[in-house]
Amino acid sequence: MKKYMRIHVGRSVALIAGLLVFGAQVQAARSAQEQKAARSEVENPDSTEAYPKKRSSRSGWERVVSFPGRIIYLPLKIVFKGGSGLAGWVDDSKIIPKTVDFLTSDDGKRGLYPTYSSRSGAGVKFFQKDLFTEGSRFQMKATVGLRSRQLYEIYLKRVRLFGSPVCGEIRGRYRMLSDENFFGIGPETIDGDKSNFAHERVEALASLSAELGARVNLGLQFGFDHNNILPGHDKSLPSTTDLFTRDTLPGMETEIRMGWAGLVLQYDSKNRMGNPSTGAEAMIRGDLYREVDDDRFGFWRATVDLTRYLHLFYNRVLVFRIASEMTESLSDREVPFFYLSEFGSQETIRGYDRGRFRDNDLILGSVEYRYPIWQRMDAILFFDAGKVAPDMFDDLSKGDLQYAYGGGFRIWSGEGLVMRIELGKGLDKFRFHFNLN
Amino acid sequence: MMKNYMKKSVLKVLDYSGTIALYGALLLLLTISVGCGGPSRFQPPPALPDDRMDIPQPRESEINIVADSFDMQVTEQLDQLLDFSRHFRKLAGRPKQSMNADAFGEVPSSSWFTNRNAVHRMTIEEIKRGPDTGTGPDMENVWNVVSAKAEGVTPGFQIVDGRGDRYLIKFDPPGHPELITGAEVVSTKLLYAAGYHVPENYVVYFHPRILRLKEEVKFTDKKGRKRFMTQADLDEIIERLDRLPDGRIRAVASKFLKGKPLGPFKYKGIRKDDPNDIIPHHHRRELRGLRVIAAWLAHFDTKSSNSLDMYVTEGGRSYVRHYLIDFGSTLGAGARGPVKRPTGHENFFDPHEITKNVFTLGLYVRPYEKAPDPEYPSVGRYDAELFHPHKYKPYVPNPAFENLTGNDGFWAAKIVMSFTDEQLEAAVAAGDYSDPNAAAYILRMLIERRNLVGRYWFSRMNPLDGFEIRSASSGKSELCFADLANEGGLESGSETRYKYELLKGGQTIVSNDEMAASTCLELPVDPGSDETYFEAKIQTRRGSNAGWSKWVKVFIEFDRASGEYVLLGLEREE
Repeated sequence: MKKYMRIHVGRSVALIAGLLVFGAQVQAARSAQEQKAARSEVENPDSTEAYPKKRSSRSGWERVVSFPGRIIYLPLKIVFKGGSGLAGWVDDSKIIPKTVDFLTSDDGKRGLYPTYSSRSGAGVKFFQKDLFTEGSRFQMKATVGLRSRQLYEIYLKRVRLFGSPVCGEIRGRYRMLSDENFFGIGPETIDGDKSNFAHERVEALASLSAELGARVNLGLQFGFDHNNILPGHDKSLPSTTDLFTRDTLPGMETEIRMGWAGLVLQYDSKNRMGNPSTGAEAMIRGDLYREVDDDRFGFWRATVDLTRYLHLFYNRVLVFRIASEMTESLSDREVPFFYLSEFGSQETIRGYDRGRFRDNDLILGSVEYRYPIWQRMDAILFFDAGKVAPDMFDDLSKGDLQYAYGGGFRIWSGEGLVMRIELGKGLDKFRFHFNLN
Repeated sequence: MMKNYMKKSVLKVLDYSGTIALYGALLLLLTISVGCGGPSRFQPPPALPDDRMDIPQPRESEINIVADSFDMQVTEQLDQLLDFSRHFRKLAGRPKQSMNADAFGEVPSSSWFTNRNAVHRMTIEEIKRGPDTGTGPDMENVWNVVSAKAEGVTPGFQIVDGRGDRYLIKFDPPGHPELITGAEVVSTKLLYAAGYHVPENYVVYFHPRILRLKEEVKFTDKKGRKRFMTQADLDEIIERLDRLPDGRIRAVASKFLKGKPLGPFKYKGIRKDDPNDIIPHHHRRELRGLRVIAAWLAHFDTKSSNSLDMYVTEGGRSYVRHYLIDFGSTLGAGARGPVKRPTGHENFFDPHEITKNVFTLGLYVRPYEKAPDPEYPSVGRYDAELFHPHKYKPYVPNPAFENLTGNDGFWAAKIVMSFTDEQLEAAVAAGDYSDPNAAAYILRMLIERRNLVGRYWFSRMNPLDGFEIRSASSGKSELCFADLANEGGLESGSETRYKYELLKGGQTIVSNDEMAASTCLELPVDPGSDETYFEAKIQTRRGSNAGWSKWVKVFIEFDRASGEYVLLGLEREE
């Protein structure tokens, strides 16, 4: 072992000595050349034939010392140079404005944009502004994601009716959510009971809304949903359709057609869209659902959602949110499981899988601290808590809240949120959430 | 088998660690040698040839702003990180000095720089005139619009006036009259007087009716499409601009430079096809020192794209002259209005600051976050309260700036401090601000920031300069100097003391612990031996309780033939 070490240390010494000698030779040669060049310059300052030698930015010993760094840097430099070359090409070729120009009309009223959401995948959205009345917007969207997730939508909104303050809205949508999670009903479900199903849904919606002042909006909505529950695409999990039947889990079937009507009152006093620092948002809605061609399903739902933005100091903002949802079946009818209140998503409690808890009622609270870290980028710290329960008033006092905490980053623009990345730790595990608008 | 494998693995690691250890030892040795090494006798740097020799025309080259920003923010930072010689120089306290400074730390005039105010104080008229060779565009005849751009935040177009001169016309952002146009002209005057090559920029007031759109004018519209310009395009550009009550529009007319444009220069490396360009740009003192001057003027946009190489012919020689251009983003002005609060305090993408922000959880409020908004619409976010000369950061990292040494900073600070209040007032007057309070504010900030620059650099480096050999009344020779901190009014002469040590052949022959306030030290009448080489090491103290400053060493030779002392050069402790 000692002999081996001696040999290799000896080799190392030889290598470094060689490098030193090489560096010294380079340095000596360079300085000799520079002196010669300097002399010739002084002797013949007007010479246009023998130009002075260009100076190297590193001397001989600096080259030797930097050699290992250069070796490490070389492949990285190639990658980064490629990156900068690509960035330069994108800018030089004006491919982005040209693409936008190609896809949109000159007056900006019509256009085609890419879109992405983690739930529905990537696709395109076409829009046409001012279609029937000024301020209206017509849009069509088609997105496809992994595991055959699909969404197709046609939407006409903000159509002012007969010059009145009342706006009309209609929407048709087909959605295939091919790998939804089901863990059971109630607050006691466990992560190990996770199963998988696909939810195919066709929706039609028509609504009328009126602005009651600058910040308040009242809407009346009517809708029709056609639901099919099918085996899920995630074959690594048991299929919910294999574990349950229509008798053991209401709604575990196909061809469920529901008609519904709802009343929505919204209030919005945020000071700005992208990163509000003061103001509040409130939404109160009530919906009544009935099965269209049968009488097995029927329920009503009430939702309250309040968010308050509190400016602490220099764009440090606390966001308080409290929300509650109550779902109650009508007489002896049932509630399909996929209409139950659920939490476990970026919109409810972060740190859990979507649909992690389902039940009739839901209550949640959230505190989020946002602070700026870069231009148009905030870091956030959050604490979410909530629970689902068969009956909120009976079960709330038991105190078995689910909670999650975590942090993340959000990028915003003047028009709204652009991107959100969050990592939440729930009771089960860490969960990463990503959203791109 | 397992045992053998483990043995082999251990030996491999030992082999690897031995190499690392030896390399580390080598580097340590180099660090010590870099730190302690140096010639015993002062070696003046080799004289540089005039870089205005006749050369064939180099090729034109463009730099893409986005790619360049990416390179400066990412690739260059990695390059610096992995440049171990840089780290060892830092550890040894021997940063790499500029390659084009002379024996006294000065920069010879060249195609990059001309010594102006710091060497020969310019008159008020010269400051006002700056680089101007005329009075601006011909206002009596029509302006033919020959090119325009509608893309970007601020529109602009090029015109040819009645005299046939071509100008780039630039405007203020809506709602902020005089902001960019004022800053552009004031900074032009100051950067010119500092010594840089800059274009002629004039504040002009014109009525849109003098504009004539030439046929087949190439135009890039808002969507990046290149096509011929229409009258509607021109009208749309004009419509976006603020008007004076009489219908005129205020703008800056930037005269096209003489010669053939070759594209921007880079702040790192050399232009290979320019035989005159022999010094790597990041090792040029005038480019490194520009960091200090840019900080003074809050010139945050010092990227390559705001420079221009011109192939000019003068005195029968054709060569490349290097210009700084586009000073609208100075004095706190930005393209849309006053700059954002972090500008100058952080790079656009500043991983260090972002990381700090993340981990301090927003509990640390940066001083710039608390700063009030600018008081005058024509003045940007330009203040002295939050200004720290050494902490000023450009929008995009600049490799020349990042090589700034104490000597470079001191050289640049001398230039900044060379401006008198009256000269600054003249430069601000050239901005033609309609609100005297706004002009007074800018002047006050220029003065305060100038003094902050001086205070910082003249305390970091010993500010003794202007060394010369004089004959005293006693007939003896004296080494005399100027104390720039006292001359600039930053320190009190009555509280300043100097101590010196005169060395001959490495041995101290005269020393004085406290030379009082005298700025001259006596030299021996005759060295009295074969050794004629002297070093004078001088330190400064401000106030009785303060410590001694860093030293300045002055190298002197006694010329036996003439019987006089000759200055060889000087060295400053960093």
